[in-house]
Amino acid sequence: MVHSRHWSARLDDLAERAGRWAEARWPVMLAVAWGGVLLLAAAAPLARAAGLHSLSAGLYALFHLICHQEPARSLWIAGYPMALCARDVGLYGGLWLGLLITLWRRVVIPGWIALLCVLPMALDGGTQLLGLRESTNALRLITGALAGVVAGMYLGAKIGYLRVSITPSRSGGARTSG
Amino acid sequence: MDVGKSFSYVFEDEQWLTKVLIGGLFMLASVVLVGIPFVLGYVVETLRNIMEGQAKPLPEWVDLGEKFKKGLLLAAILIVWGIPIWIIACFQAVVTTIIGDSSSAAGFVTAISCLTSIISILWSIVMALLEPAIFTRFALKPEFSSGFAFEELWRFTVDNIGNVIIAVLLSVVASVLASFGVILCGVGVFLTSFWAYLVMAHLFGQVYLQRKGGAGEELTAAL
Repeated sequence: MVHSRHWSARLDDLAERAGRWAEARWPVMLAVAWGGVLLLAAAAPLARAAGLHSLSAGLYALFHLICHQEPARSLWIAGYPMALCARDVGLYGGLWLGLLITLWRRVVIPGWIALLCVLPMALDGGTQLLGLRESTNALRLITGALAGVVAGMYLGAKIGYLRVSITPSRSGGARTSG
Repeated sequence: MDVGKSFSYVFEDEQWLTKVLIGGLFMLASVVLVGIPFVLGYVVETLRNIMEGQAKPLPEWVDLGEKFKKGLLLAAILIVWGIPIWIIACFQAVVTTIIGDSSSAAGFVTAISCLTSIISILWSIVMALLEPAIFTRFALKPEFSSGFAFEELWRFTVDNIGNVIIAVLLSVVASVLASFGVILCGVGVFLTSFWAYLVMAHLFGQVYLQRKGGAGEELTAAL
């Protein structure tokens, strides 16, 4: 009993240290994770082209949970479609870039600008969903990336130590504080 | 239990959209496992706020190290509770591999498969029923040992079995509803899944707030 309590206390201590480590490094963790998602999506067609069918099928199945994977709406690598559609690649890649920009420069994006930048993707995807028109992969990628970058910057500035609040300055303008 | 509140309280927070969107970002990172501790940590803090009776229980996305720590410990607890299912699955795989090709043993393999599947399902049900106790106890005392105070977990579950069953079933309903988020360009599923976690936290919090029996008093003492 004493031994098991000691064992669980060591686990608590380990988690405490992991928490302290993550407190300072969560943006890097997120960036690596999102980059990993994109790499895995790109690895699926590469694995199929290399004849690694089980790995490829597993990756396609994993990403099928979060994406329709329609070949016509996807980017192709090595003769096979990526495991994520063009819009999702743009969106996730944009989020990744947006977070990196926030790490580099804590830019405050007003909510209405963020919303405005998501609008092209919503219009492109919405009109296609309603059958009014068929978009192109370039448009899907660009509108997704625009929404992703701005969303990444807007949301990134609201998380943890990257939090930036706008406080009115004496001259009437706005300044940022971390 | 106020079921409607569990499904709607998220939207009563002035900053709900931002908080859910950020939760969605961490859910996306959960595809490669990294986001899971952050999400679980946020759920635990939400649950704790609900158990304290806070009107706006959604915490800010700050102190991410603390969230990561709590989520990591809770994930470890849930993994340990799931070990029997892994052992059963491994046993089934080994049996199937060793004698799977023999047509004379087909009946035996089928029987083993049925038996192991039944045991897995029963264990999953036990785990699901114990989850409200595990989560609430851990929210009060975020330590690894909190997930294995068997007697207290069992007593809390048995004393409140009616509400526990309702909470677990409604959590499943929330998860099913969340799966429809995939129609929002696929990415919607991350947001709706995060919302489903928050619904679960509220349901478990209600089980705690309406608890009966002595187990609740012991849990309260940890506050």
